[in-house]
Amino acid sequence: MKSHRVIHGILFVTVVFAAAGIAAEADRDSLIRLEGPDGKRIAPLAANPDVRATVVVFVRVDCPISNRYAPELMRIHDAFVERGVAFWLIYPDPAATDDAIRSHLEEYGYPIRALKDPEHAFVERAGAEITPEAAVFDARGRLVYRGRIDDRYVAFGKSRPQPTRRDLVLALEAVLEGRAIENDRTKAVGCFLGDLR
Amino acid sequence: MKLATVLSLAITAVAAAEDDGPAADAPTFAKDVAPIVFENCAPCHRPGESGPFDLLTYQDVRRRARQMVEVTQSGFMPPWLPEAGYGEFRGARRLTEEQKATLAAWVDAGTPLGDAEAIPALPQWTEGWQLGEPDLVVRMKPAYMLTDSGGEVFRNFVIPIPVSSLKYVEAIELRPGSPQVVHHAVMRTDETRSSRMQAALDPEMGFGNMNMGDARQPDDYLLGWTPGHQPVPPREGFAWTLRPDTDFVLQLHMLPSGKPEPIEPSIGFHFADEPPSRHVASIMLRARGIDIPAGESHHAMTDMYRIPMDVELISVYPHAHYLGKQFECWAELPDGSREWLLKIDDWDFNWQDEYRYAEPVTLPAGSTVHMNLVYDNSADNPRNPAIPPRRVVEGSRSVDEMGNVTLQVVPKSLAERDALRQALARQDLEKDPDNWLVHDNLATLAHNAGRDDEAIRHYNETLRLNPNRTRALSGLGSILQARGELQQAEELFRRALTLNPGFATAHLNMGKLMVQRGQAGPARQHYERAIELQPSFAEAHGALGDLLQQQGDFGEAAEHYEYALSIDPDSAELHNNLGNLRYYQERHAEAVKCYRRSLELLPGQVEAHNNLANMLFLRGQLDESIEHFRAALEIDSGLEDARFNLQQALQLQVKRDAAVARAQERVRATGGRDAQTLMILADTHATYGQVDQALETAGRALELASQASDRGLAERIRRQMQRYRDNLRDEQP
Repeated sequence: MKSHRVIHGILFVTVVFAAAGIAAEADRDSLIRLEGPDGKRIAPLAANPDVRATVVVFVRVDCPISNRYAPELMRIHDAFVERGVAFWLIYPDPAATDDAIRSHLEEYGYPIRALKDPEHAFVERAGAEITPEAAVFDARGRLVYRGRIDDRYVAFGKSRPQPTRRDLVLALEAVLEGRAIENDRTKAVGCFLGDLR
Repeated sequence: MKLATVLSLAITAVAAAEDDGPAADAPTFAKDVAPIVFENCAPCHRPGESGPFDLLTYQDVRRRARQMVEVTQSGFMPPWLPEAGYGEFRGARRLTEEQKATLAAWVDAGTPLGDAEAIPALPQWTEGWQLGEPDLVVRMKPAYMLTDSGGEVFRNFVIPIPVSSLKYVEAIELRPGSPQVVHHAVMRTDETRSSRMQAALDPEMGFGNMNMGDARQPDDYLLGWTPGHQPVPPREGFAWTLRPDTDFVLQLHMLPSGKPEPIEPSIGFHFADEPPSRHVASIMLRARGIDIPAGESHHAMTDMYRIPMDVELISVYPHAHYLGKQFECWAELPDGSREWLLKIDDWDFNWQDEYRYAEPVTLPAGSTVHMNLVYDNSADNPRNPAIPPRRVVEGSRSVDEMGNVTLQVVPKSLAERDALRQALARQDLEKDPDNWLVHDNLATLAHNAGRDDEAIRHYNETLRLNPNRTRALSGLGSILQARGELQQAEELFRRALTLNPGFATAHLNMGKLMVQRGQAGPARQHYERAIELQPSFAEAHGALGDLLQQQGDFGEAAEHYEYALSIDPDSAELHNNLGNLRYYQERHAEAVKCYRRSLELLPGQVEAHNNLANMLFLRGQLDESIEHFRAALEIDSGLEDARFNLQQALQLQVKRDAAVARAQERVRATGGRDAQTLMILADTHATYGQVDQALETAGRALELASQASDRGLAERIRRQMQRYRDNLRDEQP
């Protein structure tokens, strides 16, 4: 019995190596396509001369911290959308139905387009672990910021009355001005994506 | 994918291939996790309750598993601030270390389901009103629209309570309407119109900030709500008094959710049939003179009180704002032992609650209670509203600080409750001799207890420290008025009314003064204004009744007295005055009832004794009338008319007794078997107002007549008996 298992393991490793090779090729093109609640497939990081930066925010229908950020996200959207920044809401919960997502968008008045990521392909691309968590990509599709929207939440149950650092806004300003981002990886507080597989 | 990632994935794959599945002793949802979740989490984490997501099924829980481990390890959930071992409370929400470890091990094992059939049933929760259908439900209308974003919102809503007569509230239950958004609530009542006026002046619904203005804890009861809070069920003998035209002031602490939310709370009232026989008192330990330097991370403030009588402690309510960090509260008993009452190591303003002891804590006379409250005004306190930290002083805005621990205790009697209030007020004076509020409180207590000189001293101190304190102006004025110093009194009332034209009590007092001056017109205006401002102001109705009675408006006067008595059924003065009115209205039997009730409520009233004596004399109830004349003269030997009437009554009594004796002699002479002589005796009794004896005697005569089959005589006797009864016709209400 044991010898069979070992062979099985080695075969597995070989296959995985091969698959990894192919995946790496696809990844360089940054063409992960996700489906929206309307059924259309879109690659958020597809090359586009009008887009100077792309912001992706991972959210859940039923995450209270994520929901509380809706007005702030909309303010940031309104401030930057005219400056060539594309915004996407990504729903990584495999259990979220198209209807639920549509209702959610309506309830909170989101003008931002939504995509579903039940396989967590984009989640892994961005390295996200939390909702809400934001990821900023520059014009060439490179990840330049990932983390919290601002520092209002310190931990569950510990939130500041006002944020002191609006990290997402700072990151966007820097990208648009061609500067390096100071704190390019920050810790977000919210619901764990790891639970959603 | 990077090579390293692939390699590690591959190795994991190999390891997995060697694996047989989760370890046999790993916790499963069905057997180990579900019971923990259903008991501790699901009560709030289910539809319609405070939790923002449900935790009722395997899928619900699995999708939050890591989060649940984190929040239970940090102690954030279940939300319960008091430390174990420092006070035993009802409904304590804690997980044991073992339970927390089970959750963590379950996640490590990959959140296995286990045997789906073995998942326990969900608990049966009471739906709707937890205390059952209330006697009265008051809903706030219209709904308040909470904004979608920003920081916390504190708002006070003023809700009229529609009751038309006095009620005793033995329990209330608040249903916030939007439990996910309302973080906690505090409820008080306001019998003046002050809260209503404050709300009218505020452009938004209700009025803002944490300060509840003139709203009070009704009869010292703490009324509050927090998520997961179980309403306090009725307790035998405990209730607070609710008068008509009282406003409910509901303070809500709300947290925006990201979208606008309509807030429409309702309050259920449960009424007791009887007035309360037990009373509660609040002992509020507080931080005085808060002044926390910027950056100071450990700023401790203490307070203590001596309790001079036996009390039972039933609940504790700690309060501070964002900088509060640690609470310690304990009692030192006369035997030298220390009893821990509360300890909180990580105060969270959002989860403040009233904690009810599982068993009341006995604090014998001579116990002291202590508080130690530590603030953290450093940048390390993530809840610090100021960045960078700022100096913070006492105040009711959320950027200011407060600090108190309210102990709700039960003294043995109402008298002991009043004595406790006095003792606490005295101690406040020791701590804070230049605080006008302290003097104001002492003045009111002294005034209510009839200690006028003491009241005057404290009113004067209050006004020295705060010349605009209208309650003190009015209170001092009323004492001076009673002493005949009308000029000074009038000045004080005018000042009070200039500062606050809506001050009903000052109008009442001014009205009384006008009456003393003989100015009925202005008096009436002031009384009516008082009633307009505070429709359930029993005293004002009574005073207006007096005035109307003097002017001969008996019908209207009676209306005001009756209304006043419906609100304040235990006012001896009102019963006495109504008795006078009934006398003028020639409703003598009712007058007697009123005077009797007045004396029952407050024995030793000269006027009531005298009035009752006169009434009884008129109705021929000589013996009792003599008793009451004597009682009146014992209190005030200078009552000339009472003395004269007593003489008359005594003389009449002598005559009566002689006449009755003679008639009784005649009856004995005929062996008690002669109807005629019996009737003479009966007539004699009736002449002197002894109706019961007259009827009894006539009844015996009637029996004899019937036995003798003398129909004519029997008929005459019956008619005579009817005449005796007719004299009492107005006995019918």
